[in-house]
Amino acid sequence: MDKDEFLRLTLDSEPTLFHVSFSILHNEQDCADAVQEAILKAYENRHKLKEIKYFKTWIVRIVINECYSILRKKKRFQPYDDAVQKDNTYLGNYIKEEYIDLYQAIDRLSQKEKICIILYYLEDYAVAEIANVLKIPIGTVKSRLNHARKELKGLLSE
Amino acid sequence: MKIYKNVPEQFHSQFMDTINTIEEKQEKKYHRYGTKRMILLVAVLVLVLSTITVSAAYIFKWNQAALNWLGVSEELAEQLNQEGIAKQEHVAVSAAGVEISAIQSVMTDDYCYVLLSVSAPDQVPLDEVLFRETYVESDVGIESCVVNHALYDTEDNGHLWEALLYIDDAVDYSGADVVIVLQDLERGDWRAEGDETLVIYETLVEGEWRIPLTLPSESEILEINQERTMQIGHHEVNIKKTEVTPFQIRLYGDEEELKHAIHYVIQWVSGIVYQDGTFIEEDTGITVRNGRSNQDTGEYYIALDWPTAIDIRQYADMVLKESEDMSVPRTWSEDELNQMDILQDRCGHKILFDGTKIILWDEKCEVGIDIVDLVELGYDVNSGDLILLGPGGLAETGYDENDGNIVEVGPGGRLIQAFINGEKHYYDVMY
Repeated sequence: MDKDEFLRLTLDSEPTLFHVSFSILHNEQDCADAVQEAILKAYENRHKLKEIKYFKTWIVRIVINECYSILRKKKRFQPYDDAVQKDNTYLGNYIKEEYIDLYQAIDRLSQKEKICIILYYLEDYAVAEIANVLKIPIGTVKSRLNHARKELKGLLSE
Repeated sequence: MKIYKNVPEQFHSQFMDTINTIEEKQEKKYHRYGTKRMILLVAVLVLVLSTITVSAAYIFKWNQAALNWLGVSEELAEQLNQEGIAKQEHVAVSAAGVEISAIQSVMTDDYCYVLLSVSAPDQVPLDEVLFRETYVESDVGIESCVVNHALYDTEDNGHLWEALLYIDDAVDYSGADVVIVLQDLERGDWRAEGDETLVIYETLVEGEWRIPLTLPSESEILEINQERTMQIGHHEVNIKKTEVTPFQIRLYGDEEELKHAIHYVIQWVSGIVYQDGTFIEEDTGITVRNGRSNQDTGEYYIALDWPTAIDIRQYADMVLKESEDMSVPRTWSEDELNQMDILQDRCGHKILFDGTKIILWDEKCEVGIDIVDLVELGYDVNSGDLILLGPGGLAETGYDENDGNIVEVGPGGRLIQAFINGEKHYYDVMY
């Protein structure tokens, strides 16, 4: 993959990379840092990607890893109540107003389920693609989506 | 679903700065030599590489734990060394009085195996502890790893450990630099509190060990582009292509046919044959991975993880059992079926239980295709006790009279979890 192709594919991926990193980090600067680091790493190792069709799943996985790396470094824990209060205004910067309740509900899911929901419903990834990104079996993706849907149903009816 | 506003400006700005940084980078330039000089260079290179390879083969002898885990003969180990699929490691890190050395690494289809040696002060019982956190730092998308005591540690003193770094077949990891990060050694103590059983973890050693490695090469793949029909059970499965690596055989074909056959293929495989006619029997230990589909080409395959490593240069064919050697599928009368519990496993397949036997029901063909006789495995029909089962390297546990669970019953490489609770029996069959 040459530089121009890499840049073209990366530019196309910008919204997805922000959405995925935001779902984990909830901080715009952290997202920018994680995605920057991931892009640079991906560029240096672009020759290792065997086929271009896997680019998006590959770079999303690198972004997810960078996000977890930032979380580990920060060892951040934010009590849910504090997060909700902050998110009422803060989420409005990134999420359309009519979907804030939905996003808050998604945000209450476990990290494993949240990332599946985000990739499937908000980023239009197929189940098989999600399995590739997260390195888990397809059955596990389906199970997490199923469980998350039930949870969301309960949360949204509260 | 479009729930997001536009990408925020600050993020976009830093994103574009990164793009611009890359745009300004110089692409690496490759010099083209004249033909004669190229040939000379190649000749010298081959000679040098050959020398290095032979030397490496003499120096590097696989640890027995690695040979056993990967099912590799010493002869094949030497070949894998020469191909760079296995390499010796020479890195050691120390912290908090604990030293961890990487001994060797081997690249398989699904993970990179890394054998580690751990030494600690006498007061740290290495055979009773685990690392609290284990992960991988890499630029190539590897993040998760599992680190455990070596399964085949002949000395059994807790010094040998195995790390499995999970990889993806979409990426070439050959020569990638990674860091295995291990944190804190802790021991878990089981305690009963009321009706619950809890595990309380005690940190014995606080520390972080960062083990830098360069991963070995990925193996070549033997591709056999020959269409054939395989008789797997009572199904004919059209195989369009076969790929063979030292650790895996992949069968490509129609997705529906393979999805159906996946439940039976293990029972019908008897081994492989090499070009010189040598038959290597493989009756237990094969595991089947869920099928994968290439969305662009439509190629679908199932992968069989092979317990005894394959010499792909000698490989000729996979051998299936003859129908006469296998139990004949049978049907039951309506009266007989009414006497049975009819349940479903987690894949939605129908399962019959007649009080002593588990029968897997093939709905497509309306026959009972597989019978597991629990009595033969040690099931007491009166008490419901199932005692210590599980050939084929599976962990052995038995029947819990309190909660009615039977865990990990498994002949022939298949795993059956059976939950028995009073009068109602639930079976969860896993392959």
